[in-house]
Amino acid sequence: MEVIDKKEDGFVVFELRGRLDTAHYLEVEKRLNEAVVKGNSRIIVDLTSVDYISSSGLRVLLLILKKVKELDGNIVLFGLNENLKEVFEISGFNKFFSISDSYDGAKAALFS
Amino acid sequence: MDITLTIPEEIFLLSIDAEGNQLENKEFDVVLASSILMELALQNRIDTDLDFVIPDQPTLTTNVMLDEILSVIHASEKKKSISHWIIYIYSQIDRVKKNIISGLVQKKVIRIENERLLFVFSSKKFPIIKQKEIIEVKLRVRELIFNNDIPELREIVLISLIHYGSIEFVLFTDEESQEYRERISQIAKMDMIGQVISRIMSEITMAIRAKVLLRIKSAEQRMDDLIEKFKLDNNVKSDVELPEWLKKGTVQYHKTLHFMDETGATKINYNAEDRTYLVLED
Repeated sequence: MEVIDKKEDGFVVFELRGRLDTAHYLEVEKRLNEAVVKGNSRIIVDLTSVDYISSSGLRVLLLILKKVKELDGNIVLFGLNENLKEVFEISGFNKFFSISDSYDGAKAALFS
Repeated sequence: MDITLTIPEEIFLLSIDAEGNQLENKEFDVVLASSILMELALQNRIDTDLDFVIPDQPTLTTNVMLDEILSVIHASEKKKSISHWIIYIYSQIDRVKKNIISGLVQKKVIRIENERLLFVFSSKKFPIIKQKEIIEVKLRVRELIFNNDIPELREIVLISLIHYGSIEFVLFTDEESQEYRERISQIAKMDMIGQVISRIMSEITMAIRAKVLLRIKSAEQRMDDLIEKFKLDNNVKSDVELPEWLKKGTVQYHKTLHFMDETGATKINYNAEDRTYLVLED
């Protein structure tokens, strides 16, 4: 899995590519954690190129969400394909995350 | 000194009433079996998706029984469903219970009291020595339901177990269960292992009734049969060539599996145009 981060004005964008699964969740957790430790509490996660997510992947996102909320921040996800949308709905994780269809929508949601 | 309890230990403690009587029935046994898988998931030893258990880190835990189950999961050649592993653990539930009880006794949280009734039957009670442990678990979970916080992973697991195991009464009054029904079910479904519990319960209950526990085929096994038949009938050589509704890992496969589960069917067909399943005669 590729994890590409880009610092923007007041937030960080993480672009994930591949499968957010057993083999990769630790790397994603590490990278997101590092960003939070550096004081980034507003994060956009681009899931456009993610085609699979396991429970571990969902858990990592939830853990980071908790951390940024403690810092008065937020995480917004965008670019979920139909498979991912279904996983978020079936698992109820969609109730806890801001999910947007586009990058612009995600940016707007991050500061709303 | 603080004691660290595992999820199976916590759920076992929750099932003990003020007199030390422990809830004993087949449904609770399914809850306990599921809690073992959940503990392994929390310790990053296994991962799951909507249907399957995926082996994660093979390193040993500090619990012999968890390690035994973990080694079987890791040694399994094919990835198997969540329900397969719950049934596997359920098949050795007496040993699982003994392990949980001895763990709690060792940690000096409960003691075992043998009771003789009418000079014939003896039953066991498990008076709780350290009430603090159980009070803390109860407070933690109740508080989460009553506020709108983002849940911790351990709380998700416990709520999922009591909700899908139909034992909400160990933590909530009937009125509370009613009032917070939406929040409870919303958090409960965040655990994919938990979501399978109610399904397994009805499968096991039916199997026990029919006394054919060893003969029943899970929905996943019936799906495997169906896939093999499809491959033969359509000269399909590899899984990659299968249609979405039979291809493992796809959302449509997940839907097919649920349909098989709900209907108990062994032969079905899928109409991709109107997205409907049809049960075929055996």
